[in-house]
Amino acid sequence: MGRTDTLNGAVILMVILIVILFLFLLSIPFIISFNPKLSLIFSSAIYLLLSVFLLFSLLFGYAKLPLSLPFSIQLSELFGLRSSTSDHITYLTTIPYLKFSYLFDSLSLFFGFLIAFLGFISSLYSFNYLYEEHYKNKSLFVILFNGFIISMLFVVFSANGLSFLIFWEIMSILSFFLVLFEYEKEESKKAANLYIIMTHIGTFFIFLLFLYMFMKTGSFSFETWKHLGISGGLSVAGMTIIFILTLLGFGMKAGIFPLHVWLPKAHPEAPSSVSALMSGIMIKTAIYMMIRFYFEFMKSYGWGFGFTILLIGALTLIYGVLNAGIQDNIKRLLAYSSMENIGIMLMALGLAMIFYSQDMYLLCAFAMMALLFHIMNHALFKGLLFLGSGAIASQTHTKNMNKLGGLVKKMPAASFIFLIGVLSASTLPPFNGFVSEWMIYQSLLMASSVNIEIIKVFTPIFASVMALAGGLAALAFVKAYGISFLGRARSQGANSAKEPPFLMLVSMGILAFLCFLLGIFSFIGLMPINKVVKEITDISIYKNITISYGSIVTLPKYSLGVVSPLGLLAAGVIFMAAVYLFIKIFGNMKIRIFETFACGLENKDVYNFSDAQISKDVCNAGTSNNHEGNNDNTNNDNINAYTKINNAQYSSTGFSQPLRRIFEKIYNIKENLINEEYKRKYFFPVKNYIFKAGDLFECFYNSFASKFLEKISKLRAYIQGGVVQTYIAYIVGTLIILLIWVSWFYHAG
Amino acid sequence: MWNDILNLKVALIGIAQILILIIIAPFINSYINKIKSILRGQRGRPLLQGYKDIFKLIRKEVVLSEDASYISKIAPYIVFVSILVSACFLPVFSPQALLSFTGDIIALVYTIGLGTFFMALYGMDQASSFGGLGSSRDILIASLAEPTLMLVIFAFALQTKTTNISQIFIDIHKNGFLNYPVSYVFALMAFLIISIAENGRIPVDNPDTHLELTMVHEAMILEGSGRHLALFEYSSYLKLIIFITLASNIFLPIGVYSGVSSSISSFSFLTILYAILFYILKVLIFATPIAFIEISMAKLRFFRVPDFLMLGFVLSIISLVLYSI
Repeated sequence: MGRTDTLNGAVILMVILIVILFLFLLSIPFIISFNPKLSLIFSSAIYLLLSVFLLFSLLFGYAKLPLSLPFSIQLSELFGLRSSTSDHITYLTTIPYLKFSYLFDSLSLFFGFLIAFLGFISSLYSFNYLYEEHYKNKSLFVILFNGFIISMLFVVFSANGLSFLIFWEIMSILSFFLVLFEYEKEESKKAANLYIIMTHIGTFFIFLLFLYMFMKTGSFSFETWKHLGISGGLSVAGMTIIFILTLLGFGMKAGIFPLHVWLPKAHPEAPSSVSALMSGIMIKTAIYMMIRFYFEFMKSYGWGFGFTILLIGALTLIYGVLNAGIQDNIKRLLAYSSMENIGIMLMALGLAMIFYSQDMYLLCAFAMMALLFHIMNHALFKGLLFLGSGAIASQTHTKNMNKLGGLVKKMPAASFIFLIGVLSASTLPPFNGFVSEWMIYQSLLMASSVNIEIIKVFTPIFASVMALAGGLAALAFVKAYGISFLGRARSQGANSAKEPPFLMLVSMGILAFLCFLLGIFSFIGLMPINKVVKEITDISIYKNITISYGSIVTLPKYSLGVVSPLGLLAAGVIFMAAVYLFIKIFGNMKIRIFETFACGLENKDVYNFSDAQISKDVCNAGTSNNHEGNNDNTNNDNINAYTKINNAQYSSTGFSQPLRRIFEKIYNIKENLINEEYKRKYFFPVKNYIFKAGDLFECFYNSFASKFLEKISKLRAYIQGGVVQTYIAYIVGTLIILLIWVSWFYHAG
Repeated sequence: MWNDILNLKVALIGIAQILILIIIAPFINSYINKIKSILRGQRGRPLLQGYKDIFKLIRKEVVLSEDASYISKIAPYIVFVSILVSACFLPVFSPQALLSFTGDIIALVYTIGLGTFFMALYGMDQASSFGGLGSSRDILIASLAEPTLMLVIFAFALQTKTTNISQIFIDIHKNGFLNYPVSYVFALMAFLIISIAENGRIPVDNPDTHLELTMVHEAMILEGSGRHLALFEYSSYLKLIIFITLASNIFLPIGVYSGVSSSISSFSFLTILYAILFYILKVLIFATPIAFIEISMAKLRFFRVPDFLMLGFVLSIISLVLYSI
């Protein structure tokens, strides 16, 4: 391959990436022997620079711009880089078919930007978080953490099936180690095992998929695969195979409906800055590959594929949000909420595919914009929420919401930041989640102009599913915020919590500010997204859907609706001022502080341990829940010391009880109220309430796997019976078969 | 677009619409109570009692729980303002809403949702078990009512090809009362059920008491007092009037509604007066059945409420299917 004379920005980008990789590798001994803090601050600076650079190259097309910087040719020769097309970089190896090639088009730049930005935020956060959580292997964490971010960057920039798989596997394994980071905990081990098994089943399907593509094209290069789509070299059966394999392979990583089991287990177990990365961006690398496959490698498919994705999206959405509502572990609640958001993204993806298959490129561009905007928004607010949950967990040493409460007074700044995240995640105006959700509603409405009867009938139903999910998400987040931040402390840990350190607050604050900013001035987020959409659909709709003062309208041809978050906020502020002034002038601004009415329960001596014995008897029923995934019963004695009023508050388990009861069919719940001492059955009975909320599908898979393994082991015991004669017979049999095979080949050849 | 905003007449009509909503909201509540009392054979509270209550509460001091945080201080305002903002999207007696360019019917639903969210947080802020109970139930009922509401909205949005409320109303009024499709009847029934659920009226919740059996909406604001309680009460009145206005303009498309338009040169004070009178009449017509339902039904058990809401969902699906064929 000849070297092009003019070098382009892609080479520079690649050089930067490789330099970062080398710096990271070189820094390993440094981290081990010195301070991990220094390394984290160093890497966060690098990620910030990288994210800015990636954003600028997305906005202004640096990757395609021919640049002639001094030493760039020497640099690229040093790293053995070859640039074939405008934004394509190839690094050849001596192994056949193994080519490390990288692609810097808008789509990968967009995802790369999100990864680098979230990497910046979470390394800033880890700077304090590592010391707050008192991890033992801080240096190991830094190495794994940086490796994880870099492997994700290489995944989205890979332009070759094999190199993609290598980085995909590195990403999976490093995230497995991070899930297993607190390896002493039984829960972490279980979650990490489940994660590594399921993610490898997914990788298996991806491998099959890439092999199929290789059989069709004779190459692993994405460039060649793109030509396959353009030339229409795929039959309907071939496309169906690719569709199913992508769905299984990437769907496993994304956590789509029946394959989601690992997600709510693994995400809560990782350290919070890693959970933020995993939920915020890692599961979306799967969506990224789906976009590549459905819009670049496959062309001219029927509407059925899009409809399937839409349906799976709706199922993922509703299942995720229903499970989020009943969780008591705050991080597991957030993980299920990530599943819900993956559902929303899949619905937008499905809609875009339906429009794409019907050649309605304008509508496709709109749905695509909604999809990418929601990906961006979710990365921001879910990153924020996971970081916030880490702040809670590091200060109170529990993730169980039944032991939290009253944190709004202990950590006012963190609670305010968390409130913004909660509002964005509940898709309420004026925050960013609302805008993307609104755009997806509009795309659903536009789907009625598709001339297919089934889609016309189903779109309102999908909209109502989304509405139900929106309402239930609000329920889950009211619970998350109300139980853990409001009211009174339910345990000693929550009572002794303090405001998290400065850099944790700063990193969360940046995300909260962006959630607000993108909710009000959404066009800031839509501008880079427009570049991506333009490259995929050849249509620039940015001018069509935004008008001068920040409101978003749907396309002029389909003039459906308009929303201006800025106008909403302005109206809100004006009305707020008016109402406040009205009350100030005509009303009474006095406030008297008094205790809460608690039906005659004593309300004094909240932290007085003297009446510990009484409350132990009365309150045990409500508080000592044995939660799956949260076996920290050490606090029980402390809880018992609290007066009745603290435990008479509504608990997290109680809050979700109506939901559990209404949708009891889809949950796998074990509830039990056990009398601890039989004699004291009627007078101050000591009772233990046991509550376990498992995932229905996990239970299903477990029973299936145990049956399957039993069969396999029986078969193995039969074959490997321990009799030497049998083994000799196997050897002889194998030899004979091989001889026959070879001789047959010999004659045939 | 800027011309529309700067058009003085439109702005004046828009402000007049908001003012009308604010003014008649307590009256409608008193009116429903009056009819209920008459049906029970009582004399009932005077029709202006709602205003008196609000003013009395505003002048009282607020008693705040010692466990309350800033949420308790801002939530009443946010709840009230979110209802007011969503009222701005709503064309009342003329097709022009004050802020029709900032939001559509989906934004209206979500803006009301912001209020519901903060009210639920308020319920949990005072470390009282009643508040949590109310929050848990209220937000569950609201989220279960949401799909039906969205389905009804989508049914109309699909028919008129827009989510802009003004446009929906104009199209329906253009269609007229005579070409009233059968599907509307089912949509109306579904809408009635959601309105009852969203506003916490009788088969779902009882707005008059905060007994433990009916602890949904009233339990959340149990700790509320003074101006905070006034704002909560007022926002529940406003929410009811918003739903009644939506229903009356969609399901009773008669009146001089489309006549009141700034673009028409025959813009006169008298037309507006007629339109307002017509609007109030329509609101009273739609408020009356609520009183009749409340007097003739017992409150449902909480776990029967999902069945009730499911009925609404089925009715809205029937409406959609009837429209499609």
